Amino acid sequence: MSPVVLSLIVGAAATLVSLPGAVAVAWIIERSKAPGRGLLQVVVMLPLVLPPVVTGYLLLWLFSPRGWLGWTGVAFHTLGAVVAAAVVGFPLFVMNISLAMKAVDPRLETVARTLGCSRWQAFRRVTLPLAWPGILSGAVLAFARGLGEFGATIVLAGRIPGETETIPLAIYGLLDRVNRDHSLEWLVGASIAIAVACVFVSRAFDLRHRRRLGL
Amino acid sequence: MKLAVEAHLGRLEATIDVDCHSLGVVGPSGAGKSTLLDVIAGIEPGRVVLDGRDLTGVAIDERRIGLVPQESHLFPHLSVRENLAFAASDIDFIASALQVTTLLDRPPRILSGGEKRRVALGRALASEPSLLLLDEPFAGLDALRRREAMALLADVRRRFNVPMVVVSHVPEEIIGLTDQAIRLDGGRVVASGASPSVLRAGETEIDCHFEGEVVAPGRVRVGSTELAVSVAATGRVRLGCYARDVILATEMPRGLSARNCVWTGIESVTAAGDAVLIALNEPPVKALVTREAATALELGAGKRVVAIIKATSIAYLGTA
Amino acid sequence: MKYVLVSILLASCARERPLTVFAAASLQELGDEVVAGWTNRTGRPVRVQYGASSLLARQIAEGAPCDLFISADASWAAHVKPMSTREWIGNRLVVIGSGDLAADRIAMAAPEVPAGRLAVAALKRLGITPTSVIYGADVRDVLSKVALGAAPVGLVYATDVDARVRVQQVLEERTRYIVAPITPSGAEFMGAVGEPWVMEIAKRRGFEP
Repeated sequence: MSPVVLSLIVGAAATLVSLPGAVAVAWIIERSKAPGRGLLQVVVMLPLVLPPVVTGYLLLWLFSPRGWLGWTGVAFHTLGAVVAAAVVGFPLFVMNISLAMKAVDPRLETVARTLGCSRWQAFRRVTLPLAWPGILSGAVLAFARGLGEFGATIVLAGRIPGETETIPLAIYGLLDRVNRDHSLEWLVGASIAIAVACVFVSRAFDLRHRRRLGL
Repeated sequence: MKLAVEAHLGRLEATIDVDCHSLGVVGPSGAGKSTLLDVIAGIEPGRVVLDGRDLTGVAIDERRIGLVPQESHLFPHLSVRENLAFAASDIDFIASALQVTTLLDRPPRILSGGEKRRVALGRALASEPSLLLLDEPFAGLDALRRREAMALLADVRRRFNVPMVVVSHVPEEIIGLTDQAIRLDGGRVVASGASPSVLRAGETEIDCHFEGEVVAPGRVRVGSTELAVSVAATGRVRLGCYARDVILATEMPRGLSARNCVWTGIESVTAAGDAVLIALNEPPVKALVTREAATALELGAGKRVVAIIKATSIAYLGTA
Repeated sequence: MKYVLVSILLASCARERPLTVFAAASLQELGDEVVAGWTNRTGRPVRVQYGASSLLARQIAEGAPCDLFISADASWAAHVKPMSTREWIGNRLVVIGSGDLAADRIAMAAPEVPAGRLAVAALKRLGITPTSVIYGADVRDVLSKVALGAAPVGLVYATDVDARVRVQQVLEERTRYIVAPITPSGAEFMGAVGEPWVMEIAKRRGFEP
C-alpha cells in the first residue's frame, strides 16, 4: 500500500476514533463542574508540549509486547500508527472543540433544560448542532496533525512499509537513498497538497460554524 | 399559586412567601431580579416551594417552570416552528394565540425583538408549565408595542390559565398583570404586598389605574362619569393613565381636541420633586403640574377643576 | 581596546578541537575500548560519533566536523571524498531471534544503510521474499526491535549480538569496514587503528581480520 493511501487511512481512523472522546473531554472541561477538570486539561495538553518522541516512548512503554497493554497488539502494527496519530492530534482536537463550544451561549442549554431537556438532551439538541461545524473544523486539523506525525509513530509503530510507513516515515527513509527516482518529490508534494486542502476545508467549516451561530 | 422562595446567594438574600395569581418583581437594574427567576427555575440554588411541591434541589428539567428570558434566546439553528415545537408537537394553537403564525418557517435571526419575545413565550407555553417566569417582557419595546404586549400577556394569562412571575424595572407596566408584587434593591426584598402599594412605595408614582364598564363602542363609564376611550372590548375593562397626560383647568375649555373634559374635585395634593401630584375624585386619575401652576391656580384639596384627558392617553389594560 | 577583544575572540575559536571520529554503529563497543586505550597511551582526547554509515557520510558531506570516517561500506566512504581509504576489519551477517525468515516479519536495517543492503542481498541469495519488514535506523535499532518483540527474526552483524537475543544462523554475507581520513590528524589516528593491540581487541570482540 502506498504511503499516501496508508497515511490517509491511518489519519481518518485516528480522527474518527478520537472524535467522541475529544467531544466528551471538551464538554467536561468546558461545561461540567467536575472537580478534576483542571487536571484533565493538563493531561490532555501534554502531547502538545512533549517532544513527540517522548510521547512515542511513553506509548511504547504502555503498548510494547511486554507492556501493560501489550496484549492489544498495538505496537509495531498499523494500529500503532493510528494510536500515535490520535494521541498527538488529541490536544489540538480538544482545543478546537472547546472553542466551538465556547462560542455557543450556555444560556441556550439552560433554556432548553427549562423546556424539559436533561443535560445530555440539551447538549445533543442545542449545543452539539450549533458547535458541529466548528467540531468538524477541529477534526480536519487533528487529521492533518496526525497525518504528519513522525516521532511518536516511528517509536511506537516502527517503519514497516505497507503497514506503518506513513508519508513522514517514507520521506525520512528516502532522504538517505542515493539514486532516488522521484519518489521523494512525489511524497513531499502529496504531503503539502493534503495539508493545504485540510486548511481550506477547516476554514470552510469555520465559516459555516459562524454563520450557524448567526455571528 | 402559592410560592415560597428562600435564596442565600451573595447577590441575592431574599425570603418570599406569597399566595397570589401572578407576582410582580420590581427594582432597579442589578437588584437581583433575574437572579430570583434563576433560583425559582432551579438554575441557581435555593429553597423553592410551589403549590405544596418542594422543588428544592429538583433538577431544572423536572420543575415544569417555563422561562422567557429578556434576550429571548431562541435556538438559532431551528426555525420558529421548530423552536415552538421544542417541547411539544402541537403548536398551532399557541402560534395563533401569540400571533406568530405567519412567522413559523422563518429563522429566528430575522425577527424583530418583539416577535422574538412572542416566540420565546410560545415556546415556554408549549411545555405546559405550572409557572411562567418572564424577565423584562417589555424591555426594548416602544410605547405602542408595549401596550399591545401588555394586552397580549393579559390574554395569555387568561387563556392558558398559568400563573406568572413578571420582572420589570418599569413598575407601571406590570401593575395591570399582577396582583402581588415585591420590590428588590441591592439583592434584598425592601417591600412586598399588593401590587399597587408596592409599586407606589419609594418612587414618585405618576400614573393610576382604574376600572370601568364599556357602555358603547369607545365610551366607558367610570363611576358616574363617562370617558371617551379607544377600546374594542366589551364589559368591564381595566384602564390606565399617566399623570403627565392629565391637564387641569379652572373653567371648562372650548374648542379643544381632547375628548374628555370633566368637572371633578381635588382629593389631595402631594409634592413630587419640583412638581405637584394632584389626585382627583372621579375619574380617579392623577395630574402632574408644576409648582408654579399649582400656586397660580390655587389648586388645593376640595377645589373643583376640569380634568382634561385625551382619549388616546387612556390605556386599555385588558378585561377585568 | 577593540583589538584586544578581537584577538581574544579569534584565539578562542582557534582553540584546538579534539580529534573527531565518525564510525559505523556496530563499532560502538570496540570503539569505546580503543579510544580508552588510545587516551591512556597518548593522553590525547578522541571524540567518536556512531551511527548508520549513510547518515554519517551525509553529515560529513554537509560539513560536519570530522577527522576520520570509518564506514561499513566503500561507496559511503568514497562519498566523503577522503584523503585516502584503507580496508580494515570485517563483520558477518547473522540471523537472530526464533522466527522463520520465510514466514515471519523480519527486522532489518533500512535498505539505504549498508547493513540493510547486505541483508537484502542475503535474502535474495536465500530466495526469500519477506512477508513483512520492519526497518531499523541502524543495526543497533534492529537488535532492540527484535529484543522488544517488534519482529520475531532479524538480520544484524555478528558483533552486535548481545544477551537479549540468540543467534539462529551465521550467513556468508560479510562487510568490510573502510577507514577514511578527512584531515591530517585523522590520518595520524588511522595509523593507530592498524596496530596489533587494536586488532587484538577487535578479534576478541568477534570482528574478522
